[in-house]
Amino acid sequence: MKPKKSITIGMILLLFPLFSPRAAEAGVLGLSLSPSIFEANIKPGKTITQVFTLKNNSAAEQTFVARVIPFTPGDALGNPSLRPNLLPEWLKYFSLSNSDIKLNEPFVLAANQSTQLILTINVPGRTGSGDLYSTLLVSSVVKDTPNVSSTMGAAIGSNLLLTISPLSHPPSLVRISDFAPTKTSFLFRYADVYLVDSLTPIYFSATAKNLGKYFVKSAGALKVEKNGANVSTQNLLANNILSNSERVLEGSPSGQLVYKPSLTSFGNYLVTLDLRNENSSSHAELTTLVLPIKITAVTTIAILVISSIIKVNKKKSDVKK
Amino acid sequence: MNFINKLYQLSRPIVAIGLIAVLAIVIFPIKTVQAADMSGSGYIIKMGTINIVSGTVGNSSVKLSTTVGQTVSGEFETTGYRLRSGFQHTATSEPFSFSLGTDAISLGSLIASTFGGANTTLTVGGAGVHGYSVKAIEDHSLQIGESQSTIPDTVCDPKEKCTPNRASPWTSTISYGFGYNMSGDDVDQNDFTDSTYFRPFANNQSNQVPVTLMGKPGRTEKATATITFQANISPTQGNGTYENSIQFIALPSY
Repeated sequence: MKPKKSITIGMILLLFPLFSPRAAEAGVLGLSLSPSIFEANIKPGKTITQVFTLKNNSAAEQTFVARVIPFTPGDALGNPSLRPNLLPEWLKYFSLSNSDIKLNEPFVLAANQSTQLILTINVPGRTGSGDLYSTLLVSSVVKDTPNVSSTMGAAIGSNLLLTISPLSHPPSLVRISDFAPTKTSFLFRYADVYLVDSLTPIYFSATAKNLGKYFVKSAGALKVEKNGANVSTQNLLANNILSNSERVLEGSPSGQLVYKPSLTSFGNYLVTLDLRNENSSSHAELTTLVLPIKITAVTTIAILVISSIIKVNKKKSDVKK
Repeated sequence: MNFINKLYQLSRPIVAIGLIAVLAIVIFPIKTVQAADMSGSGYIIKMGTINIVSGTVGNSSVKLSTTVGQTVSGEFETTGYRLRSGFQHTATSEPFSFSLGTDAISLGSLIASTFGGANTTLTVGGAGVHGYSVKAIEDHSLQIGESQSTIPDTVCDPKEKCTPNRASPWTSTISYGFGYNMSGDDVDQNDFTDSTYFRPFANNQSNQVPVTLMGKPGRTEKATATITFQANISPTQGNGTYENSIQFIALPSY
């Protein structure tokens, strides 16, 4: 290659990053809301206030509407299922204390403008005890755009978990409803003993059910013991378990409940799951029999292959003699 | 000949070692590392608990026991409330955010029995420790003004009908309607197997509820997915501008 040509190609390569396509920095229609969850335990007759920060991340002015919408647990992973058609009496407890923004009424934010939504919750004195689950939902008002197929609106929510009770720590009743190694983590099961390989991490699935009237936070730990001695401890993530619902329990910090045996792990291991909150607890346990199955299999196959090679060689050399 | 025999003799142990290595790879496949926090310390119980209910339940594989009690109340008695906001354990510095690549899409001038499409992006940020979901619902099928003339919500290919909750292939040009495909971060790839898989939008006019397009349990700093809209009209479809509005809802998990 001529020196002039190679210099030209080098220059082009150096300039290439300047002209390569880039991901868009911001969408045309965007918004943010924080905090994304608000939890409170309120005595009947009390009023509380929480400030939410809303920002219009759009490239242009947008009109928004803030609403409080009841939700029910949508699944065991903590996803709410909004119920906009439910209009319970307790929606009247919620209001915005802003001078210029009201619930269910449109308001305008300029591009990149932030505002504070001051949510006031006023619980009347004779309100019965129980939980109220809702979402503060802020939606953009869909613009009337001519000659397009679909106009699109964006909405963002913040979950409101309220316990109405005269008690600071109302009674709770949470049970571990399911606890087992995942199907791919064990080789064989006999009664309550799971046969596992010493080289395979053991992942557990666990679910808790809240049978009480009030939501609780999962807390506790997954512990592995051998002969009474602690081998490992993994704390649980603090997930909210809503009243009369189930929730998958997760380990900190990855979300997975896992025990990784070492190469030298061998024998019976007791795995316990303890779920505790402020005034109740639940306990589950199972036994895993850890054996070096993979190591033994490979070693056996290796010995068989080597010994058969030696035998064949010996026979051949005997025939030659 | 003698040399070849010697070479053969020498190569056999190498073949045996290779065979063992292959077996080892089959039995011990290389897996992605999955991190998990394992610590030796337990947790701290700050207040004592007086049990008021206890019991043991179980089945053949799991033993369960439960206690219920009541702790002492303190500050609550004077203030009348206890508050917590944000995610306590792994708070994100970034607020929960959601954006759409555009606020309107145009499918252009549709030609009968020919797919027309457009796409945009959905981006979620700061979803905290518990995760999030993005759902969508349309106000009604694509229609001209308030008239009864509509482009129906797709049912995809006649063999495998898609629903708002289940995607299926849509490649037949004699199957008419309007639907969408999803791809990218946190999209259910068991449902949207490839770019030929579509679903109709949940329809508010038919009293359907918003359906999840993307979502993930657990911490999510940022996720971006692409939504591809597709329409196909019959030769008898009337002329006009067909419109609807689609609401995308981003919700954090609790």
